[in-house]
Amino acid sequence: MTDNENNSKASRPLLQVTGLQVEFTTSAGPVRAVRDSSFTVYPGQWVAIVGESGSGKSTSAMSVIGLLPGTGHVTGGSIKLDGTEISHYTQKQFEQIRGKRIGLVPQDPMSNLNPVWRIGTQVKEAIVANGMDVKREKRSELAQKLADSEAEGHYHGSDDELFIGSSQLPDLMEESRKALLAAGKTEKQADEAMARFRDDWVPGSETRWRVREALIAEAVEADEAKRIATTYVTGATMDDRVAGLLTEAGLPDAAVRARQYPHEFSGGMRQRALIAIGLAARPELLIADEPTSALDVTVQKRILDHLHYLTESLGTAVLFITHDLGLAAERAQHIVVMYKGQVVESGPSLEVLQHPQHPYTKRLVAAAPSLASQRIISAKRRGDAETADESMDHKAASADTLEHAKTIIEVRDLVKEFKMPRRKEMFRAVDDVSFSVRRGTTCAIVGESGSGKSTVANMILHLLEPTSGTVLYRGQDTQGFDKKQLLDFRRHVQPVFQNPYGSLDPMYSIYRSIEEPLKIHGIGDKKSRLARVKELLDMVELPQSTMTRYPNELSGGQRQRIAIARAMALNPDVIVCDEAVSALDVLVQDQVLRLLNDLQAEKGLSYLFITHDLAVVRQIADDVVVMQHGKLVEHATTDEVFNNPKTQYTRDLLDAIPGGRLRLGLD
Amino acid sequence: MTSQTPDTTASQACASAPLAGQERYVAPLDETPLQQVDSIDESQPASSMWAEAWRTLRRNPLFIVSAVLIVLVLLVAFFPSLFAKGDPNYCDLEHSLDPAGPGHPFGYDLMGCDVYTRTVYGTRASLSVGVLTTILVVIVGGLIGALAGYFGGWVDAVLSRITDIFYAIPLLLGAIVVLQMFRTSESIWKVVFVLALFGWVSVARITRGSVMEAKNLEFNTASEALGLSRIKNLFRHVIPNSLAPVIVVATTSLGTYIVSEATLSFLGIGLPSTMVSWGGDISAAQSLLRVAPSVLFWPSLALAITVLSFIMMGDAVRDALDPKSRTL
Repeated sequence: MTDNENNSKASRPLLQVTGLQVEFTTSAGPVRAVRDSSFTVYPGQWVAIVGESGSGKSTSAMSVIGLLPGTGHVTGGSIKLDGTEISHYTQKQFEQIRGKRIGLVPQDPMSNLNPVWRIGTQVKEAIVANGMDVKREKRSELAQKLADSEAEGHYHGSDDELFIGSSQLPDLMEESRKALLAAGKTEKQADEAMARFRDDWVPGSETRWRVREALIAEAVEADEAKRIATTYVTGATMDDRVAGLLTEAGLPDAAVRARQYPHEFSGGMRQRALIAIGLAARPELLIADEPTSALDVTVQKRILDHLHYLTESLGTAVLFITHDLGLAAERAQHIVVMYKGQVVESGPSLEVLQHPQHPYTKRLVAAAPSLASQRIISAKRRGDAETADESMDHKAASADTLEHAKTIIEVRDLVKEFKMPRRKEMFRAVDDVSFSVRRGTTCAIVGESGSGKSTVANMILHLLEPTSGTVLYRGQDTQGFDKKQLLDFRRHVQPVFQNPYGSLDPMYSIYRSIEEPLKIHGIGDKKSRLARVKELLDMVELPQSTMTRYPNELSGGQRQRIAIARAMALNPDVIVCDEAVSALDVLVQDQVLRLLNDLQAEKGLSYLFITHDLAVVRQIADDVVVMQHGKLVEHATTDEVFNNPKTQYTRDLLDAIPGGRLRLGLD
Repeated sequence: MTSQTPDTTASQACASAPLAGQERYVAPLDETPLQQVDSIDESQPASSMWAEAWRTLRRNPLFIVSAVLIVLVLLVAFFPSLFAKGDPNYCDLEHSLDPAGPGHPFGYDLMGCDVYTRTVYGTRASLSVGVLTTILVVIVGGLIGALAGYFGGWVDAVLSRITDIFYAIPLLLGAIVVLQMFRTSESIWKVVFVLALFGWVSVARITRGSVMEAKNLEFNTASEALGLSRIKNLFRHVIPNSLAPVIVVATTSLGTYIVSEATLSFLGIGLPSTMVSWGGDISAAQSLLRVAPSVLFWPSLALAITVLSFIMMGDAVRDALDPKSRTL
């Protein structure tokens, strides 16, 4: 795209949403999901909508392509796409826009690909549905037209629909090599350039004019480059095109991959396939609805980097929906913050981040774990050290506690093997892991999915038998426990699980849920148990009336606080938090982390904190264990891991924290 | 970008002035007042899943209609004398196949018995077979299915194969063979047992599935980590959480058991012939279909309405307890 085009287009917004209102019809009457939301997207720009779940960010974006779920409908405001009002469009009219002008990368890569069709078929579907299938006759016609226009001296790429075909690729390579040598390159230089071409020029990926430009860049004469491009780039078949799109989205070996089924793909690969589908028809705007929130951080970084590069080279604008402020600030030029269905603040991303003005944005910036640079300081200590420099105080205090801390849990040479179905060799989920948790401190186990961190947690909780190795609790081997000792162990080591929607029995009232551990261990009578439940609810800062409610009436964060109350009921020494805050919104997550931290300071608890999120680790942990593929890669204090990572993997993890390098100036 | 002094940020802002429509915007605070993070809405009354289901049921016309019909059928079954004054076994050959007359709205059958009275008194037999079979099926099938689903492994393998074996036997064929052996018995229990013998299978399968789903939810692991034994966990957490689909299946199949009873009685091997039942009456009336269709019609209609109302009830209950629409 030339500069001229850029300027003339930039002056006119691609998408302009003003005063948008969306309502959902429910049995209890209409519910307003979005009230008066306005934002603008310019061509080629990344705009991020940030907000917690239920803030209306996805609803706003989906109304742009007429994909509101269920009973949702636009009741007011205007949506203009390139100056044309589309808010009143029928589904049929929307079909004309979807894919062609506005693409979508949906949130959940696991459920958004049809498991019974090959990946290639699904990409092909996107091409055909948008009338982008270049048939043989049409191709030759196109080639002719292009040749004519080029002869007249008009040369541009945006209409060029001819891609490298697999049948002509060998000839193209050979000719290019000859041309390179003719242009005065040495054998070695030519080989290097050819290696680069071999990576880039996958059938279906590069158009005629880009082949020409690539050759010119390698010092081939313009006329010769044009001759090669027009002779050997005469059009790709559909399969080439599918492979090309997948290559473009960053899938290696695309031709083979296209013949595979979704279940053979990892989460990251599926997301790449979805990106290929979203961009198949070269839309002007791509709506990316939390495209990476289900993926590991390192994968997220790779995919977003690639998407960034891709949209930049295609000139596609991206409307990026996320709950992660750090991610939004890092990727987008313009940020729109939504809260309770309304836009509360918008502006250039760094400015919004560095000088948040609306109290909600301020709160969000303060709570964002990816932007935090130090451990949360407990309420008690906050009070003590009002005058002292907080970080200094923390360092001093932690050094102090480090010396006094005694080991409460020790893990020695832990190994866990699982039998794989239909395979002889065993799968090593945990491979020779040793570390210890000191009393009164937080030890975090960090790793991506499949690293074996949860398996370690379950073995420490005595829910899984280790294949070999020992878990010592206060110096005693937990494997050797008899029934009575085990019950006593259960009393002192408590878990809090990841899924706030699954960890409480939906049939049990909150009172019964929290009372259950007391009942199992036969503690107190009915009256004293009731008093204890009330006390525990106070501890997790929930009103006592919550007692009579059921889990389905509570939010995720509230349920997680109930789960913490239940874990606290028996006055344990150790709490094992398995991704306890991963499913929560930023503010709620911050609230729960602070609660955990205050409880630790008050009761001298030790935490084993399992998480995939290094940002959270910084906020809560004293020690960090980094795991990869079942092996322990690094074990050190948090400060050491963050300031002086020893292994490449840890460095990659740290790099992948979104917005980790952004500097904040909180007023 | 690393600098935070206001001067440089201002100059940056000048250098790249925001595009139209993308100026800095801050909403007035009074429009969206900030709420406390994650506070509980205490204005709403507390409600459990069952209370929620009841609220949905109450508004469902399907439920209201079927509930009214079922209450009516139950009343008839418990107090038949309130609805029909005569004796169902009092027959007068003089009235053989007489048409309807005052006090005898449905007419008379071949033996001269009042069809209306017999239809009313037949309710009890049909309904008791249905209800008793359902109770038995839920207990046996539920228990076997729950054990198979919860313990898995060889327990599941053995119990599932047994289930499969019973599944392979056609209900009617099996019932005919077994009932032939107890032809002389005069009690309704033989029918109940036979229907339960071949009916527990479907409930066992449903229970097994829903127990397997419920046992993988995290609260079970949480309870185990609290020190609850496995078997106690099954009864305290897993079974209550897998009840909903079982209830739905039970309500729906209650109707089908009544049909099966009628079929068996029709074949002459169901309820003893001395007992007044719809199936028996339909069987007796089949030969008169051309001469006096009304004799066949009325007990059949009663049967159809009863079965329909139970199936409708099952549908309504499923709507209310549908695990997919349930907010877990």
